[in-house]
Amino acid sequence: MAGATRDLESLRRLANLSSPVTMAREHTMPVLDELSELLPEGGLRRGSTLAVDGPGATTLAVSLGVQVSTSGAWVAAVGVPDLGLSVVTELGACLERWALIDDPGDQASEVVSALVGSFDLVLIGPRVRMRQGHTRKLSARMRERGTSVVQIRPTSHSSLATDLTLTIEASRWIGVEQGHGRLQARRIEVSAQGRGAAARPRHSVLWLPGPDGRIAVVERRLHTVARQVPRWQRSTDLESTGLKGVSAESSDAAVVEIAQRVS
Amino acid sequence: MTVPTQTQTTPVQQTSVRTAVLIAPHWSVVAAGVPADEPAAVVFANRVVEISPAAATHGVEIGMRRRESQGRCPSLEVIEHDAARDARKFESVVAALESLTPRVEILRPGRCSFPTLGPSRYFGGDAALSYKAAALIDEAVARVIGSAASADDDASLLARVGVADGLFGAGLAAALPRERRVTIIPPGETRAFLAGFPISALGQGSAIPDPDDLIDLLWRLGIARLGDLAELPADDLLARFGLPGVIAHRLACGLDERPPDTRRVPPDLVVEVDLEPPADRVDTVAFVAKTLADQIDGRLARDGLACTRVIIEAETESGQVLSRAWRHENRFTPASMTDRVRWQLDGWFHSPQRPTGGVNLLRLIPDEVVPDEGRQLGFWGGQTQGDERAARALARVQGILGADAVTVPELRGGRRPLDHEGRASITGVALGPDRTLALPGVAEAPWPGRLPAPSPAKVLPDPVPVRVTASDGAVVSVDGRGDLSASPSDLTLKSGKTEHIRAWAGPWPIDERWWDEVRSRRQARIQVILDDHSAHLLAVENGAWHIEATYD
Repeated sequence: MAGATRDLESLRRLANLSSPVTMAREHTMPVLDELSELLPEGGLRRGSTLAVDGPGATTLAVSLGVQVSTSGAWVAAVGVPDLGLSVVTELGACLERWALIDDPGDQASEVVSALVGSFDLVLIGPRVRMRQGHTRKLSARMRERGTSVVQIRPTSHSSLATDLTLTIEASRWIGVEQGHGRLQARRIEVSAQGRGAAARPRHSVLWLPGPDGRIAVVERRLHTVARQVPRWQRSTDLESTGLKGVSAESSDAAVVEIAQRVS
Repeated sequence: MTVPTQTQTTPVQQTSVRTAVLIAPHWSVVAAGVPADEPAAVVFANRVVEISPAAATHGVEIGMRRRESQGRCPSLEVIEHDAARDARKFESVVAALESLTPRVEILRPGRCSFPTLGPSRYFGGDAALSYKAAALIDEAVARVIGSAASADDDASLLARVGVADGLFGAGLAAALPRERRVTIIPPGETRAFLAGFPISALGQGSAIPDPDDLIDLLWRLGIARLGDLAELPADDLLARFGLPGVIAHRLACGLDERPPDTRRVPPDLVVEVDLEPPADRVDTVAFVAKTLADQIDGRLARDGLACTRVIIEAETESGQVLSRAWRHENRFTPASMTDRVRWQLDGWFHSPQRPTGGVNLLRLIPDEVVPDEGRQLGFWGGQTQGDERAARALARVQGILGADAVTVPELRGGRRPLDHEGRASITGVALGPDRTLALPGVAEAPWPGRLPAPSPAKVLPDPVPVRVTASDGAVVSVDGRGDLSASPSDLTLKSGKTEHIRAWAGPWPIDERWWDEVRSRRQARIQVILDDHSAHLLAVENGAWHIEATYD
C-alpha cells in the first residue's frame, strides 16, 4: 500500500516535470537579425506554422533555419529532395544539425509528428501531402512541444493552417549581363502577413543572398545613406567602388549603386 | 540452446582465457554473392576494404583507392560495402558452430571466437576441435555461396582458425598467411609467438582506443616488435603512455587486455521489452532496440561502466528463444549496439531456420562490462542532449519509412552541385556537431570549374531536358573552344512552353574523367535569367541542354 502511494507521488512529480513553466524568451527561436523585422515577435514563435511563397521561397525558408541550427537545435527538411546543400552553408547555417527526409511518401503526417519535440524547425516541401483531418492535431502537438514548421509554397488543401505567410513579391538577380558576369546577389521584396499579432503587414527589402552569400538588409541602409552621406562624397564613392568589392558590411555607397542598377 | 546470463567467475591469475578465433576469409565478397574466380573488391569510402582471391592475383590490395584498384584490374567488380548484408549472411555460419559450443561470439561479420577450454576437452584437444570447427564453417560458407561453386574449389576461401591464450594472440594466429589453416599456439607460448610481430599488429582488433597514435610513437621510439614492448617494465609504460600503454603491454605479453574481473555484471543492466503485437519486420524491432540500447547506455554511465560484449536474445510467439553474443573491440555505443541488433535480427529472419513466428520479446544483456575509461562530454559543443533527442526522432522516422529514407548532408568532391552535395544515410553515422560533414581530403580539395557562391537553392536530382535556341530559332551549341554558337534567346520546356532569356552568363566548360568511358563528362554551363526574373543553371552535354539547378 505504501508502495502504491509512493508511486502515485512520483507520478504527480513527473506530471509537474513534464509540463514545465516556459519562460517568455523561450517562446521564440532566434532568427537572423535581417529577418527579425518581418516577424511580429522578432523571432520564430515556438509551435507556429509559417508559409513562404513566391520566387526565392526555398532560400528564404532555409535562411529562417540558419540561427536555429547555429544555436544548437536541429532542423529537418521533409520532402525537399532538390534542396541545395551548399546554399545552406553559404547562408551561415550549421549543416551538421540538418537532417533530410527526401521522400516521406504518403506518411508525411506521421513523419512530421515523429520529429515534433525533438527538432525545433521542420521545413516542408511543396509536394508534401498532409493527411486530411490530421493537421489540427499536429498543430496542437507542435504548439505543445514548441516545434515550428515552415512550409515552402504550400497548396491549400494539404497543408497546416498558417500563422504567418512570408510572400516574396519581387525578386531581381544582379551580376549577369548579356553573355558576361555571373550571378552575384538577389534583391527581394518580402511582405509578411498573418493572424493575430501579425495581422498588420510588414515589409522588408533584402539581399538574399547578398554578394557574399549571406543575407543583408537593403532599405534601411539606403535611408541611412541618404541622411548621412553628403552628396559630393556619394558621387566619388560611386566611381571608385565596383560591384566586386561589395559585402554585407560594405560601404553604403556601393549598396546605393547596386540598387540604382537594379531599378 | 543455453545462454549464460551472467559472466562466469574467473579466478584471478596472470593467464588469459584460451581462445579460438575463426575467420571466414574474404567474407564481404562471399556475402555479396560473387563467385570466387571473379575479381571483385568491396569498397567503403572510396577505399578497398575486402577483395576476392581472383582480385588479389591481379594485384589489387586492401587499402587501395577505388580508381587505383580498377587501374590494376579493369574487369574488377566494385561492390559497395554493406555491413548489414555481411552480418545477415554470417548468421548461418555462426549457427553451424553451435554444435561445438554455445559460447560463440561474433567479433564482426566474417570473424568469430569462442573459449576452447570446455569444448577442447570434450572433442580431444585444441587441434581436433579447430579442424572440426573449420570443417563446419567451410560447409556453411559453401551453402552461402551456393551448391554450384563449392568452397573446396578455392583453398583461399577455406576457414582459418587460430588458438592461443587470449583473443589478441588467437586473432593474429588465425590471420597468419600460411598454408596451414589451423594454427595452434601451445599454452604459455603466446608471448614468444607474439614477440616476432611488428608493433603495428597492435592495431588489429585490439582494445586500445585510437591505436594508431600509440603505434606511431612506439615505432619512432625504436620499439619495432611486440617482443621489445613486452620486455619493458609495465609501470614505466603506465607512467609514459597511460592506460593505452598498459593495455599494449599486456597484449604483447600474451595476456588479456585487462586483468580478469571477478565481479558480476549488475543484474539491472539487463533490459527487455515486450512487443505487442509480435513484430515480424526487422525495422520495427530495430526501432525498439535503439531505445533499449539507450537505456543500457544510461545505466552503464550511471555505474561508470562500458559494455564490451552484449547478448541479443529474442523470443518468438511459439516460445522459441534465439540468442547470440556480439563482442566489440573497444566498447559499444548505443548506435553500434543498435546496429548489431538490426544485423542479428536480419540474420535470424533470413536464415534457413527462420523463427517460427513474430518476435514478441527482445532482451539485451550486457554480458561483459569494464570500467569506463571515460568519455568526457564536451563542456562546449560535443554531443548534447538535443543531439541525442534528434537521433531518437530520426530512428522513429526510420521505423516509419525504412532505414535509408533518412539522410544527413555530406559534402563530397565534384564540380557540379549534384556531385558535390551528397546525402548519406544516417545508419551508422554518429550525429552531432563532431560529425565530419565533408569527406576528408576530397570535398575541400580545389575543384577548378566549380561555380562560386551563391549556390543554387534547388539542385534537381534529375536534370530537366530543355531546348535553348538563338533568336533565329537554331539550337545553341558550344564549340571545341568553349564558345557558344550564338547568343541564347529562348528556352523551350518539354511541354512546349517557351520562356525568353533576359540575360545570360558563361559558358563555363567542364571536361572531367576523360579516361573513364562510363563516368566521363564533358559539358558547358551557363546561368540564365528568364523574363520572370528566375535564375537557372543550364548545362549542355552532347548537344542536349538540361536545367541542372534553379536559384530559387
